[in-house]
Amino acid sequence: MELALEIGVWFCLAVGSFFSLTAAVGVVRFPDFYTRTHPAGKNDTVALAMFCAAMLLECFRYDYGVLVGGRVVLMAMFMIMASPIAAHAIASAAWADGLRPWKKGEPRR
Amino acid sequence: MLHILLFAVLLGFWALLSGELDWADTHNRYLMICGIVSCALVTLLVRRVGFIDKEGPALRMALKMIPYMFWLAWQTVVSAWQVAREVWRPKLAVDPSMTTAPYTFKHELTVAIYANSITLTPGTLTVSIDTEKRSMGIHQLTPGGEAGLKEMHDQVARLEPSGAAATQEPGP
Repeated sequence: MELALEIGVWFCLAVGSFFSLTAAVGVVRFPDFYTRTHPAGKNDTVALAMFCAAMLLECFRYDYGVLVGGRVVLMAMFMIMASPIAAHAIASAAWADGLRPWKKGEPRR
Repeated sequence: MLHILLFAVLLGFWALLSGELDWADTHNRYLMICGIVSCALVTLLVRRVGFIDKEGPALRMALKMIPYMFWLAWQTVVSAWQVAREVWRPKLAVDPSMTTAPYTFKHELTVAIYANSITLTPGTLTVSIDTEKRSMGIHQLTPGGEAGLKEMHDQVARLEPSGAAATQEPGP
């Protein structure tokens, strides 16, 4: 049981770190604002969810009880809901401001 | 009835965040009384503003939301994986384009859920919502991203309560 939890925690942390790193690399590599919002909005959501899952498993392992685990779940729910809204908010602001999306073949912005 | 439920939810939320629940301890007792009083105050204020009447449909949706959340969670993982593949491709091959997605929901909340879900599904991002033409502007990372949108629209439409009122008029 102990070993299974340990493996679960490390798996969640590894997957979360991979997606977090991917989001950062994507923001640097992608050509314009809208394409950059994709990794920032999606991969970060998955990364945060995975980190929260790892924290929840640790709560089970060290028997922190409902109070700490419940706070982790609340945090995860809030971030999962807030992150796509934030992505939409900045994309919609850019759209309203008249920023045209990058098309294939144009120079990077 | 809804107000009692709101009070109970607020109390639960407060208890979870505070964690000081030992009635025997005088300091904790003081904190708990403060929590109960502030929850009651918020409930009274919400009642006076009349805010809760608009939240009725959201409550009826709550149960149907649970399977939808699981489905959406899986879609999000697939989406993140597809974006990750584009990110790590040695030669960048993104071919973004704009498309539109019409919707037929009656409720503001379902529209918001739909917009949020589009952002979380493979290769698509909600950029603008036109409430008059009832459609959304979608930015997609690679061509063919709109294929899953129809299925998602049906999934979200199932959440909507059947006897729901029409869209609320915009605020002042």
